[in-house]
Amino acid sequence: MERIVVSSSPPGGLDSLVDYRFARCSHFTVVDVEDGKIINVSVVPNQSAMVPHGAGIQAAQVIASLRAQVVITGNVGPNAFSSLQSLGVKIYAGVGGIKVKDAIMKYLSGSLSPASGPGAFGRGMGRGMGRGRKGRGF
Amino acid sequence: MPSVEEWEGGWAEVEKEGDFSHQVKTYELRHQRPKPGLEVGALCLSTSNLLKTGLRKEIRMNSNREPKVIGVTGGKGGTGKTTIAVNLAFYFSNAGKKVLLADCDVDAPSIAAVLGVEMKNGEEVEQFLPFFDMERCISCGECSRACRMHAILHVPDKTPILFPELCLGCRACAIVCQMNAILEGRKVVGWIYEAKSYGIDLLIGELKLNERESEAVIKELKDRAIRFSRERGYDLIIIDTAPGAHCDVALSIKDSDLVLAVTEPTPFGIHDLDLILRLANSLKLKHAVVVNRADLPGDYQLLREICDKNSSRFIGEVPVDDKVVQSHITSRPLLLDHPNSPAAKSIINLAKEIEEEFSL
Repeated sequence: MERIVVSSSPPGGLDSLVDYRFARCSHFTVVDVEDGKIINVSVVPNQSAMVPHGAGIQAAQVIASLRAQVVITGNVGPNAFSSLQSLGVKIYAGVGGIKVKDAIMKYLSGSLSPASGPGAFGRGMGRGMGRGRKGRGF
Repeated sequence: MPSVEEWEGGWAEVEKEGDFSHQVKTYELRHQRPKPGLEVGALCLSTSNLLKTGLRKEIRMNSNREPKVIGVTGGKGGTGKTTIAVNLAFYFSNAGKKVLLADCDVDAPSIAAVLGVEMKNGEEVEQFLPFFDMERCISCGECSRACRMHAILHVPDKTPILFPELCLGCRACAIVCQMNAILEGRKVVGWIYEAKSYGIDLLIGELKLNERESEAVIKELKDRAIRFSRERGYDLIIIDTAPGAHCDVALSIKDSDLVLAVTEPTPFGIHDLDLILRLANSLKLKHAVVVNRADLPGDYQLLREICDKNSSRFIGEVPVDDKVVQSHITSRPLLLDHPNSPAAKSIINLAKEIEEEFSL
């Protein structure tokens, strides 16, 4: 069995869309596959979507506690990327905007290629904004 | 992060994967174990707690000569805070007073440029950074859960991974660790520079780029001001702050006898003046308003209303003057080169008002 986590827009599940953001998405759709077939689907709300800092690391922590082997998403930030890498999770990025079901099918057919590096900062709340810096510096 | 063994014995460069060359930082493992009775105060990250380190109280307790402290601030950026702070310092220094000018705008220190001073031989401001003892760590994940900044990734069955750029040095991880597996390391978050220019003693703080704890540098800067005051006995400490009305500014002006709010008569200037006066009121500080570029067409009625609302008062007006720009081009004080220019005269008047106020 292989466990895949897909960043999803609400409400999560096979028919919702893959969110472009990894750590700041609203739900994680957890899909278990075996022998090229989906055997189980569950939805986990993303607690780190609104934390002020370190969302990437916290989201990776969730992936670790789910014991997932694969992450499918639109874009992974640098902190999340290195966290997932050190957890030994395979990352497939650039899949945002399509249905979760289609993304899983693409993965199972082998047409997704693993992400080689993190995307840009700043899809989320930014690095240390809101700490009175008024946007200076970043 | 590299293992403890690799780190032992000093400095190393950490280069992150990918194109993050601007994030290359130096970190150092310092002691084998954290000292007992760690600064619990460091746990409290909020400015309100840092504010409790009272500059005034310290000086009063430790010196028979008590300096007057003026905080030059103003809310809006570019209103002339630094120009006025520098020239006030020059005036008082010229009048035979011992003056310390502290640049608390650690994100963008500018006094050195205004006075043509070089910022060199800075002393490092450092912060705690956890290192993990792989032999002791049982991978329980407590440190990761305790970290408010989410700077520690708990990898099941392995040593945690630290993201040093997110760490604020609060030591929560070291406190919760049951196995005593967290080692004392440090990272540099900024520098303090000392200099002397035109008879004025300068203290300049600089925050390291991409670091976020500017309060740590400001606190260190103020601690040093206390020490110098004890050693040298200043008559006057002038503190130049960052623009805005945020925690850095609050910490910078906290101990002032007088807060000078430098503004300009534009709607933008007046809006930010309201913020800074409210901040000064909430800190129970005495304040006064200086209007720079006073001959700009502006809404003086609104300006007066804001002053009345916050029970502040006008203490000076500085007109638009090309000589100010010239003084910036030559990096010399305005009062030195153009003492008879209209702006210089009004700054001298302002200084005399302050002199009277404090009976210096």
